[in-house]
Amino acid sequence: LYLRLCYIEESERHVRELKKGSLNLLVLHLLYERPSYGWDICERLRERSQGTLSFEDGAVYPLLHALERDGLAEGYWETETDEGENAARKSARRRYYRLTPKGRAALRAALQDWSAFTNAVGRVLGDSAIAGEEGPH
Amino acid sequence: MSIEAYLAQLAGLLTLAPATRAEILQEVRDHLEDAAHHYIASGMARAQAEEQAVATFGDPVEVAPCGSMPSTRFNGTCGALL
Repeated sequence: LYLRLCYIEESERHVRELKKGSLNLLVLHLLYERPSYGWDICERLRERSQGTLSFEDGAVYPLLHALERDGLAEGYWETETDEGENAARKSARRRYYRLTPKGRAALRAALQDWSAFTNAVGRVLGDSAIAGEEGPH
Repeated sequence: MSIEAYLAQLAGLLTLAPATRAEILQEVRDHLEDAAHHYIASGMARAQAEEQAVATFGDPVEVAPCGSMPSTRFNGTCGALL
């Protein structure tokens, strides 16, 4: 039982690491789709991954600030008037980020790395990469 | 924890130039307000919505890795808040 618990713990840690490693790529991609602010990025991550890729929301800010510092994105303030769901918040000032040309190049490179990585993992796993296959014990 | 209490805690952790610090606090405040309104729209009371917004945002120590102590969460992005 103890070993089994260790395995579950290890597996959770592993998933956390994978998520952390992919957050940079995901944020770059979401900014590529449209200029965006932190909350919007978190919502899109939650919705599209159906909760599987939910991070603590605060985690996106160090990342966004790093993108800005490195010249991959530029931040700017916008005041907008909300309608619909957020109508209670009449006018909100939000810090948006948009990708720079350098950021778009970084996204292309990150996508290549990601696909090289997943292809390599897939090749190693071969036929056993089928859903439902038992893990090691 | 309320949004104001959270921001006060975060402010205590950020040892940055005042302008940068204010900008980050404003950005986090906007996020928490957006989140709280999202929960209110789905039927939550204000106080509960603020609690939920703060809980989803995460530990202020990890949000502000470079204001004070090093964070293990985003190695390599230290200095991000500067």
